[in-house]
Amino acid sequence: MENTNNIPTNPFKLLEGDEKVPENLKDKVMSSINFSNMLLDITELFTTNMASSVGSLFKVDSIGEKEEKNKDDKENKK
Amino acid sequence: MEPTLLTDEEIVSQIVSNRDTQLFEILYERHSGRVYNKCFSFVHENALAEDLTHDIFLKVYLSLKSFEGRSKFSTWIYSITYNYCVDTINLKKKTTQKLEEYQYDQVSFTEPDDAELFCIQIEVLTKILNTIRPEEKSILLMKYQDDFSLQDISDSLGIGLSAVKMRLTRAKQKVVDLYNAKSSHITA
Repeated sequence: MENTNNIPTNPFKLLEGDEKVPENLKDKVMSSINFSNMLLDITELFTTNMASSVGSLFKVDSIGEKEEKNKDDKENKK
Repeated sequence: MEPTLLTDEEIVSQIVSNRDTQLFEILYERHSGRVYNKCFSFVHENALAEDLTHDIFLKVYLSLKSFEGRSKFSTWIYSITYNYCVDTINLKKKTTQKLEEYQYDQVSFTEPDDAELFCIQIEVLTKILNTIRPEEKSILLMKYQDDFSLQDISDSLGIGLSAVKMRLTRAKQKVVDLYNAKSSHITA
């Protein structure tokens, strides 16, 4: 366990196991990832649409926009 | 460039920008062996190690956006692995550990030299690492097996540098104490 300089070798480096990763594990991981991607896509679809829908429902015009609208209304009346 | 020639960090940035799951397979191929063996060293059961590895890779994929590149990708993924294994084991045996922790915390600590630790034979060290708390085992593996810097350990555990040094010292001391106890038991 000791090297030529009499400095003990770090035994932690030799502790790594050599168990084989099950062959089907990669497919399981990748299918879970694809499934989670699909869920993320669905969630994104709903949250972004919901946000824009709610935003448009409660849209408040800025002061500049209001003034412009008022001008347009007056001109239309004339 | 051929995707297999890309570094882990380059692959991560590509996955984050275009969610290319094919690229994630390369990361899986590169790291699944070590992740699986780390899990196995904590749970000593193939089926459980498989479940843990599966969950860890899923967690890694879902957290890729939070990888900041402050450490190497391998350091980051092994850090997630250790934390996940420790959490899983602790969830199983919460109560008994609290008692053991309390008893051991009554002892005062002096920092053992690394050479003392490195003198321990692999078989004995394996046995000792299986008897200490998973938190202690993981911090020792981070430092001495995976060459994490103190800052890496601090980031991984979410604790300060002085707390990292304290935990390392305690874990080292515990291993050396157990080794000495075993040796004296054999010689007696």
